[in-house]
Amino acid sequence: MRFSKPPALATWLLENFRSGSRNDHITGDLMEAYQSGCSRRWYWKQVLAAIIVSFYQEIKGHPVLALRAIAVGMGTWFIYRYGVAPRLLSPLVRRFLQPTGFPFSPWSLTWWTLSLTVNAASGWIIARLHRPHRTGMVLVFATFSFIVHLQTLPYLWFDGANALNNTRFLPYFLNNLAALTLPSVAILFGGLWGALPESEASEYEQHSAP
Amino acid sequence: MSKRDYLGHLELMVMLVLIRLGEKAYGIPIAHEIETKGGREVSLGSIYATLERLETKGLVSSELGESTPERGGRAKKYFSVTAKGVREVSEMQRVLKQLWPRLRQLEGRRV
Repeated sequence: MRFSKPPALATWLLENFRSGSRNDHITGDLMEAYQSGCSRRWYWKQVLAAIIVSFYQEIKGHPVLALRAIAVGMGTWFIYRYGVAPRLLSPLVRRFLQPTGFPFSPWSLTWWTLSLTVNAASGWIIARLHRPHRTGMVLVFATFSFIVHLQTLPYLWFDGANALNNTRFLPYFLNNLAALTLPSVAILFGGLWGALPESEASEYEQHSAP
Repeated sequence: MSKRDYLGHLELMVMLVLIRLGEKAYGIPIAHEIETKGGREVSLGSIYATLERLETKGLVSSELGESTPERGGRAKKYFSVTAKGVREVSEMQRVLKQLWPRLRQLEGRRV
């Protein structure tokens, strides 16, 4: 029998993104199967299937919570986009930076940072408000955000095709690629942050209290 | 007639495998048994999602077992069918037996 480590990223994804009860036993089963000769491909397939199946079960079992998670996430974004950003942040940033349309200017990077922070905050809030179902609900909003940002796909395609011939388009291509993927990644990151072990401990204490 | 949920396809298969395997049933042997007898691959994620659902319905119970080095120190979770689960499977068998005879489309087919 070989004792080699299974793909660490796959194990991390399984332990952090599969909804439902604690996932130690599933991870253990997969590791046992991997040690007895199953391939890395098989391991990855099982991990992704486990995450997708649990995600589907979570939405099917709690559709109202899923809608609430989307509403909370959208609400957070709208407060930032139409409340905080134009009234507070925009005047502040304009005092120090010159507005420009170029993707990697200080102005653009500042707004990216602020925007991704808000996305992370929405993931954190969703995780905190849906503690028993936090993984599933954070995934719901991250998926929703990804679907919404699919609108950048034509621009991504256009800039990608142009960037092959002219590197001038590369920053715009990268900007659109970031616009498609990074908001969802930030939401997941915020969701993970909202599910730190200390919050698990306090939740366990709440449930086990007489 | 009272309204009740019948077991789904995979749920019934998992219940039958649990009864067949006895006390030492956990994810890998369950998946292996279903693959061997059913002839198709079933992901461990689906098996565990089904087991968690059956446990919520009170048809299956679980307990944590030993952890081994090849499992990265993670404990096994053993599953067994409860008395309610056995009754549910028996009821399912009775219903299926009643529905099975004289199905013209199936007559002459080798199973």
